Amino acid sequence: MSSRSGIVRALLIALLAGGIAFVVTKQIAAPAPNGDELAWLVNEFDLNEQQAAQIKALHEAFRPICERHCDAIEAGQAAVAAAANETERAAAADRLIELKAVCQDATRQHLHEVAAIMDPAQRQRYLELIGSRLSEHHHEAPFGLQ
Amino acid sequence: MMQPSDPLTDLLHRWQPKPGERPEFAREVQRRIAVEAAGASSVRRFRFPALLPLAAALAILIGSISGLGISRAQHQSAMADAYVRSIDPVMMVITSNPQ
Repeated sequence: MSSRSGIVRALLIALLAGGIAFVVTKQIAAPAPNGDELAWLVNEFDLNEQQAAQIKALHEAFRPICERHCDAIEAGQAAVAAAANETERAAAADRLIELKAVCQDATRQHLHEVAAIMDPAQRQRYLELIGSRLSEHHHEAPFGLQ
Repeated sequence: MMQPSDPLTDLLHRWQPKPGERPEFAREVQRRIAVEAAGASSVRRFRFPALLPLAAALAILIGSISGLGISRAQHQSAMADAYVRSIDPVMMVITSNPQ
């Protein structure tokens, strides 16, 4: 076996080993989604106990508001679908847009209330990571960032 | 365990320059053999068996770090999306009625 073919063979085997290591690590390291977003938030942003408690209280207080908005949007969508004519459909669509805007404002306000509990570095990362994922927003930069 | 003797080494031990050959001929032969052997050993150092553990270890390390990084990024993204769905009614409706 020539030294060149030996090197090529070694590199191919190494590449294969690297690929297997990548796939196995990716599978093993993937945490099971536990569905506890607040626990993730606390861990991800390294929040202390006081911050975690305040944010949990805000989150729980916002949940019924969020559910009401959710129901209102679904009702608005149903109204658009059930409209008998174009005039009714346009009116229902306008109402739906207004509803969504109200919901988005409430969500943005909640986002800022949560961010206000965090320290500046946590706040910036939170607004970048979460703000950019919210439904349609009208800011050029992530919320709260100048 | 005894190593089998190298036929070339045995031959060189038995070999005697014939009279009439240049006196430095034997030395020249030995010198050229030594030069060739030195060159061969430096090539052998990088040949397959020696290179494989190093390259494989490096590749496994890079593969593992990449796998870990991508796994973490995917988990972060999935959990951030789940958190957003819990605070954004519009996203909540989109998720429950994807059409």
